[in-house]
Amino acid sequence: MGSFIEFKDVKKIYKMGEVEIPALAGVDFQIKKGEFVVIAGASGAGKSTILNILGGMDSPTSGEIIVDGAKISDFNAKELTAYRRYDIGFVFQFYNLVQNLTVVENVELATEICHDPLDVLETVTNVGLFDRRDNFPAQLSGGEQQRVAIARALAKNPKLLLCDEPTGALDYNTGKAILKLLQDTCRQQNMTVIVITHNLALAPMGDKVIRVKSGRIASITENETPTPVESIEW
Amino acid sequence: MRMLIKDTLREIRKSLGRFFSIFAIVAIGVAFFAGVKASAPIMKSTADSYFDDYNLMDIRLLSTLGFTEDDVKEIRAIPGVKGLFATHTLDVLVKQNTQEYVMKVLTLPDNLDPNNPDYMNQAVLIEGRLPENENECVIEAGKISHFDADIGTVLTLNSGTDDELSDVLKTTELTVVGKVNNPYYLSYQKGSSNIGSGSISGYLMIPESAFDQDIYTDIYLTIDNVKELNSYDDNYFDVIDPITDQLEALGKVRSKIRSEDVKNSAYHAYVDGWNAFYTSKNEADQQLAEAQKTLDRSFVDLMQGSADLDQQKRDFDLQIADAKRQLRDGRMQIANAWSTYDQQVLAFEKQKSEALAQIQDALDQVDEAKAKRQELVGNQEQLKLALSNPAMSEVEKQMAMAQLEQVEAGIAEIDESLADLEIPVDEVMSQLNEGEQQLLAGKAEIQQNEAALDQTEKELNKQIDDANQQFRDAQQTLDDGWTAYDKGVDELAKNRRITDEQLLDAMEELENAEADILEIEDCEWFVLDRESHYSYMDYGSAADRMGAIAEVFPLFFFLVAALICLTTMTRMVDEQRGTIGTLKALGYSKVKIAVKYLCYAFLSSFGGSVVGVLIGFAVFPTVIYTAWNIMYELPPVQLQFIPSFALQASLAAILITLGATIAAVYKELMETPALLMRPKAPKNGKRVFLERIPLIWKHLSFSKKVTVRNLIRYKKRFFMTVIGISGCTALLVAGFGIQDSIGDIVPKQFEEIQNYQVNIEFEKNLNVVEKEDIMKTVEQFSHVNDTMEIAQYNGTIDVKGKEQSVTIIVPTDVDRFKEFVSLRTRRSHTPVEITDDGAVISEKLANDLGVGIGDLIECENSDDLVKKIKVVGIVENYVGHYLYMSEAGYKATYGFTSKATNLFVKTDSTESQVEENLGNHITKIDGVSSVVFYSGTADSFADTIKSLGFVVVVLVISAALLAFVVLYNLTNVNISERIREIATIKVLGFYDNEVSTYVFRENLILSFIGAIAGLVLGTLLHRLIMSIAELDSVMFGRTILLQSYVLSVIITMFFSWLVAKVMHHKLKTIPMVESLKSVE
Repeated sequence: MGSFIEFKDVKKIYKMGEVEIPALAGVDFQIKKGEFVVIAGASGAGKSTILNILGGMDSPTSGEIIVDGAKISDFNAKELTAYRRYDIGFVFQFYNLVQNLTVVENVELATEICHDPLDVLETVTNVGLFDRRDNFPAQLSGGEQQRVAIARALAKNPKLLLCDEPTGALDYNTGKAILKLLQDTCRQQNMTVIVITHNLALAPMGDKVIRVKSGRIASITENETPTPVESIEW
Repeated sequence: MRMLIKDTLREIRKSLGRFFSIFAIVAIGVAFFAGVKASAPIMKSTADSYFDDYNLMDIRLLSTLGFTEDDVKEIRAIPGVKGLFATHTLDVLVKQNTQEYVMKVLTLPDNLDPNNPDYMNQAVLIEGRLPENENECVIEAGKISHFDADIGTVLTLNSGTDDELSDVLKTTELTVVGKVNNPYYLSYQKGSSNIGSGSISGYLMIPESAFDQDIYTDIYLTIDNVKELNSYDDNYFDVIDPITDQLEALGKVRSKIRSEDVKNSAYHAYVDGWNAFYTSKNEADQQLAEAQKTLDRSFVDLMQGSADLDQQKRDFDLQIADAKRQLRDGRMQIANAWSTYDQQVLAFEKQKSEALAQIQDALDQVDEAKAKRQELVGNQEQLKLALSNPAMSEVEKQMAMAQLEQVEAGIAEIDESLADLEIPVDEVMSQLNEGEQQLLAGKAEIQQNEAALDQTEKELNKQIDDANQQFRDAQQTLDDGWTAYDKGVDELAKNRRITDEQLLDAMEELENAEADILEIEDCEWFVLDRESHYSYMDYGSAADRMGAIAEVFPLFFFLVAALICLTTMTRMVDEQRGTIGTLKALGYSKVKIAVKYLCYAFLSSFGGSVVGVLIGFAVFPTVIYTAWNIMYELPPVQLQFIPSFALQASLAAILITLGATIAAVYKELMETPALLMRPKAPKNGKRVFLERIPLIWKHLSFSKKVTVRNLIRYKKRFFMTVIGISGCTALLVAGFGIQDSIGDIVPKQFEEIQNYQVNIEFEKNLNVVEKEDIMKTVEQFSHVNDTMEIAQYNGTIDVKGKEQSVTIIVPTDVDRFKEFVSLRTRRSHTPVEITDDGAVISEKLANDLGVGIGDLIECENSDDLVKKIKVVGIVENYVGHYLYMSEAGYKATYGFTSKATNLFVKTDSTESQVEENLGNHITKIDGVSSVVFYSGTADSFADTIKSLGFVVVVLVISAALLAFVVLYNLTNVNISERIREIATIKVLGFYDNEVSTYVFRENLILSFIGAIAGLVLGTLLHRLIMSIAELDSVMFGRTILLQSYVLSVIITMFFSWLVAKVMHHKLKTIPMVESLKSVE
């Protein structure tokens, strides 16, 4: 089975006036379809840049990125938007729900713009929010809000689920539950899930753990037997 | 503290957009407030310095009986009087082209030095030169004056009354040598006059020396120590009033002295008047009676003549018949004579032939006898011969002797018978001759008789012809006599009418003269300060009206400014929640924290105020002053800085901004630092009413749902936008509405209401018949459809202390009048009837007077009679004030019978060629004093009004400014507030256009709601502006066309779209990474 995602010597250099700040100084890795990947690193290590570039929010300065056969590093702004629209599901640290829409509507927000969405109500049920489907985000707890965000990402039926510190704003138990949801989704739907975290304790739950440090890959560890979320403590 | 200031400055640098949006709206608000508010005082002070520069009089004195030199001396003696100019003013008529203008004659003193304190109301020379002698004049150089003439034109002045102008002026022919302005008249409205059209069209200035009168009509005064003061201020009147009081006191004394003489002579004149009246009445009666007598006499003569002629004819006929009979008899006799003659001729012929036959017989016998005798003579010869023959035997001789004897006997016998025979021939012949002679005589006699008869007949015929000719002549003479008689009868009837009219006039005049004499006893001086000066008051009230706008208009901008500051500062404080929390946690006091935001607010609002004040004081007074100068003749604006307004506006703006900031900060400061450091709990989503209608809600896309919910969620923004945008639309509606309403006037007034196109004014003192003749002449011209005689008088009505001229119209036929003027209400177009118990008045007049149907108004007619009249109807009318009365109503009110003064003419063409032609024809008619074509009036009026389009431009620009500031701010706040949301949906894969729609749909909807609200607001604003800008004698329409509403909304939406277009780029550049940041 070939790689689903491939980073080849990806560099990202920010220019601040005269000074060049390399955020990524040449990153290479591969991810297979259906893998649960944890990208871990300290703040400023470059993991967010990887996420931005992979998520189509930013383009690399150099290098190649191939996702499902498409060379997204060559995409223009419009193609990138389409890529985000149809291929990527995004879960944010702070959920980023539209406050003015109910749970169902927040999910519809995503499904309305893509080709082959999943059933909205089913997706909401799957994340365990059927009873709260008509509530507004402000009426939900953080975990519940993150579930909505996950439902919103999943309902688009994306090729790739990108999660940026999905538990960052949640308490321990809730965080665990969310991670479980993500892991289950990965396993059950054969969804490629990439979780970005600064919490190295999460590393054991990934099929593959990519550690980032100072804009470079520190290590890539393949986990033959990922630990279920329940048994991870941090 | 230093750190705080540093922080504030950095904050400003970081958020320049926000800083400037507060800056801009404060600048706009302050500029409007200070600028518009300063306009009125600047208008007044500019006018005042114009007055001062050209030495406008402070006080004008009038006396009903004029002033004498003694009066002048007394006045000059009053302390405080600086300059004095005793002069004359006069209203005259000047005919130019086809039209007659009422002109005010003002005078120039001999000393034209501008520093001469006695040279008042100085002429501002625009073109040409000032008059140098009494044959020259200067006229008003107006951009919109009604009257204009080229330099070099000779004007002929006419008094417009019965008085001769030459009694007053040395010459009535004046050459225009220059054009001037004069602080005495600022606008083309110059008040009313008793002559001509009733409103003063312009003025002439002539040297005072051109007046040929001892008595002064006017005295102008200037007062010491008032030039420095603004005459529109109260303290000016503090100086003026005491002097006015003194003048009034002096007036009481002087007028008594003056009136004594005049009263006496007036009484004498009155008595003389009655005497003259009776004399002329008797004379007229006598003349009429004599004329009647003559007519009667000629009637009798004519009747007698007719009878005589008939008698003569009869007699003559009898004579002729007799003569003819005799003639016939004569003819008969002649015929008889002829037949007798013929018989006689016949008998004579017979006799003659018989006699001739006898004679023939006798002649034959004679011839026979003669022949026989011849034979016998022969025989005798032979016998004698034979006897003489000697050889003859006697036997033979005997025998021969016997034979000879026998022959000689035969001869004797024949000679005897011959003698017997010859006598009857001569006898017969003579008898015949006699008979023939007789016949000829008879014939001649008959012929003579016949000729005599012919002669007689010829004579008779001639006699008959002659007689007939005579009869015809006589008949002709008689007929002529009758025609002359009929004419005489007509003439007499006409003369009776003319005399009746003249006598009635004279009597009414005398009857009223009695009242006049009583009035003379009330003779007084009028001490008129500038508050009675038309142009001063007119311009002052224009400035006051402007001031009234200044009270309302800028408030609106302030309200919007306040809302914008509030939303902007609230947003700013919201964004800085964390910082506030941190500062608080670090131990900064609430005040110190607040100071940063207050500093920020202060700097932006202070900066905005300074810029606003500078721009406002420069732009608005100039724009407004210039706009008003369309109607007034004033020098360029003198801008001034009015600190109180600058302070007021700036303070208000700064306080509002600071207030808004405090309101925004206060809530945050009350919270604990811990809470502040945590992200603010997002505002709850709320269900809206629309969701209860699934039919609609289900079909809305998510972004529309967000829009709907957002609209209701952010009330501050909602109101800010709706108010701001409604203001924008309101300005547009008002702007376009001004055009609609004003554009309306001309077609409505001159096509719908006035259905006549020409107004002909008769010369004064034409009699009824002459007027009728003019009417008949005019009716014969081509293109003239109909005419009607109208009594049109110039009245005056006191409208809130200002004398306004009204046209009193008394139609000769109230019913037919409807074809000439549509008397109808404005709203429902219900026809209004002129009844005998009062007057129908025009709407603007009713509004200005504040009267309704049934109320009484006081109106002075052209004979200076002031009477109360009941209002019986109010009619739509836009230009001028009108009072319509029936003949009976007028008589009942003023005691005079109304008489036709004008002729209204309906034509079927208003083409200039046709009108020019018609005008030429009409002016040539004797007795026509002036002709007005309303198409010309309508055109010049339309031009004046078109210039108000300037105001529209100002309003549209203000609207655009307002819309941009509000929408830009709204969008800015909206975007910064929702930056995460926007970044998120971008991450979710929304295309740029979808993102724009998602954000701007809200703006568009708000704009639309604002625009709709603005339609209502605009309608109100329009009404306000219309009522404020309205001219005294012109009612602006109140209509706003549908397309103006539609256009206003479209333009508003266009502004909204434009802002969206500009802000689209901002959206595009929002980094998606924003979505990853934590909530601040």
